Amino acid sequence: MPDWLKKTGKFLVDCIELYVPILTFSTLFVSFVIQIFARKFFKPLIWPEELSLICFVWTALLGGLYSKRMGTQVAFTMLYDAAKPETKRIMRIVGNALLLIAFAIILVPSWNYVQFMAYKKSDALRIPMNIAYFPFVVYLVDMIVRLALEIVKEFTTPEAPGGAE
Amino acid sequence: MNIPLIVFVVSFVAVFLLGIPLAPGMMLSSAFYFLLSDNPAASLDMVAIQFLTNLNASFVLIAVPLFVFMAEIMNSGKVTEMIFSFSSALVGKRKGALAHVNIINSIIFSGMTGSALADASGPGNMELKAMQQQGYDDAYSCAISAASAIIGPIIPPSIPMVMYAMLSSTSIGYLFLGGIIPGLLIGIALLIYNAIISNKRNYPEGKSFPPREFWKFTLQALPALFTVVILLGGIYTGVVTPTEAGALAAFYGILISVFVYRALGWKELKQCLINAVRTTGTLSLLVGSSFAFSYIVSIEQIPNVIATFLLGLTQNKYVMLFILNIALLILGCFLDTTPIQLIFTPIIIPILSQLGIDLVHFGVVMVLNLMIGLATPPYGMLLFTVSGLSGAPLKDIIREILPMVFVIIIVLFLITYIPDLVLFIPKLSGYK
Repeated sequence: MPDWLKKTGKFLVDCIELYVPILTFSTLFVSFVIQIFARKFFKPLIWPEELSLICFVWTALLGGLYSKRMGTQVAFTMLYDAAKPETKRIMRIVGNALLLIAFAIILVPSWNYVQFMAYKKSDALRIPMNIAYFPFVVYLVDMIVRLALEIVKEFTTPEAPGGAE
Repeated sequence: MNIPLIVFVVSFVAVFLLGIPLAPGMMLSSAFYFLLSDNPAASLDMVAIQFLTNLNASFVLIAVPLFVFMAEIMNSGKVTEMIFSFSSALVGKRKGALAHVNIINSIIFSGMTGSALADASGPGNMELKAMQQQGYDDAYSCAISAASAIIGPIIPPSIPMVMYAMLSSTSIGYLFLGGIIPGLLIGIALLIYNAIISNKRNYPEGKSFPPREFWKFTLQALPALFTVVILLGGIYTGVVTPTEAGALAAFYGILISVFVYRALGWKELKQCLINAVRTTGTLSLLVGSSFAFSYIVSIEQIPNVIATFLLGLTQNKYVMLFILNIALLILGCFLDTTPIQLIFTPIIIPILSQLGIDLVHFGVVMVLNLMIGLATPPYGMLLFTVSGLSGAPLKDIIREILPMVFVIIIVLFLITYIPDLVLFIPKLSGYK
């Protein structure tokens, strides 16, 4: 794969998993601060609460992808840690395959639901709810691609690439 | 048991056996259940519907990322350092002074962050280095850092209490108030334990601070200590909601770190944001995934089945509290705090209601149980954190921490059976 393509790919993945959630988290934080000062010194606003909730959904899902990438997700790994390397490899393949199947099963129904929600708009900012809920689909697609790549890697590299995360 | 339910249970057991992360793991079990179920309320888009609609309505839950961010800011600026110097001046010349400082530091820091791990990894890091330099045993230093970090989410603010409030529809404000006396009791119990051990092992004395120096450190720490006033004062005077308090305290933390302590630049702020996003992603994804999971648990009436079973064992609320304490302590040894809360709180609530157990009281008892779980083997995140920071072997830390855990369990049973230790301050503020 050419170097420029690798760099572009990494930048795009960083945008989805890191830069966008940093932006949504910062927006969430600033909205709260604006709300506190507006209520104390001027009059209460409706939009900061609405915006912060939407940003929360985005941060949770895209930040969840970043936590997966960094291997900081919560897992019960006592049995996995105690297993032999070959058993670990099998456990990773089975675990990732199960997740891949589950996410593939819910991908289309979830996409349909998110698209269906386009009819509803948020009260203050009039943001269509399909936009608010879109990162759920991004999460599923990103996970499906990552899980598929990890399974392929298990068969193509002699050494195991990492934990069942 | 019907087939979808069997598949649901078996696949969730597989999540544990295979070491699959619990957030996607809960989605996995839910997806298989929805695929097989012919219940009209169980369609395949339910994972998305439950996740998105509930998370988008959980305004209370936004407190979690805000408290996480606040802890990051406090740990990256000089705030931690100032509080450490202040605690040292406060303890002065006592045997085992640094270990006392460690505990007092945790008590003060717990008024600023809502997480035990933030306490262990931030101030804990500094405390461990100082104790190492003064010649304390590594294992004891780690154990006291981990044990005192338990206070973090007991004294307000508290991330696990926010989770419990969301799951049980209890007031966060009263829960926060309920944690104050238990948190201080744990602090006092650990101080007494440390005094006994320090005398026995002849741990080094602290330095005595002349009044002028004492006041110097106090003045330097005042802007940092004022965070507690902003947080708790803001909540209880009604200026901010508990959720907003996290944002206000983080905003204040940024201001003092930039302008007073001059210790927070763009680079540090960016790192705080990255860490906050990662932790928010970990915790909130878990919560979001649990909504579909809890929905299935609810439509299959599992809480009722378990309530009937447990109430068949006993109708006595004191015996039930004992059973729940033991069950939570055991679960805490193997599982992380958030999954236990998310899975078991909805199951336990009907039992509490039937036996007339106060939900605020039980909330504090439950959080303390789970925090003890963080310091007990085999799965004790606090143990892993302090071991990682100091390099001390886990088995030595475990040997040192077990008596401390025993001391904290005594406090746990005190607050379980004397509810007013929890409810006294909430009642003063109008809780009925």
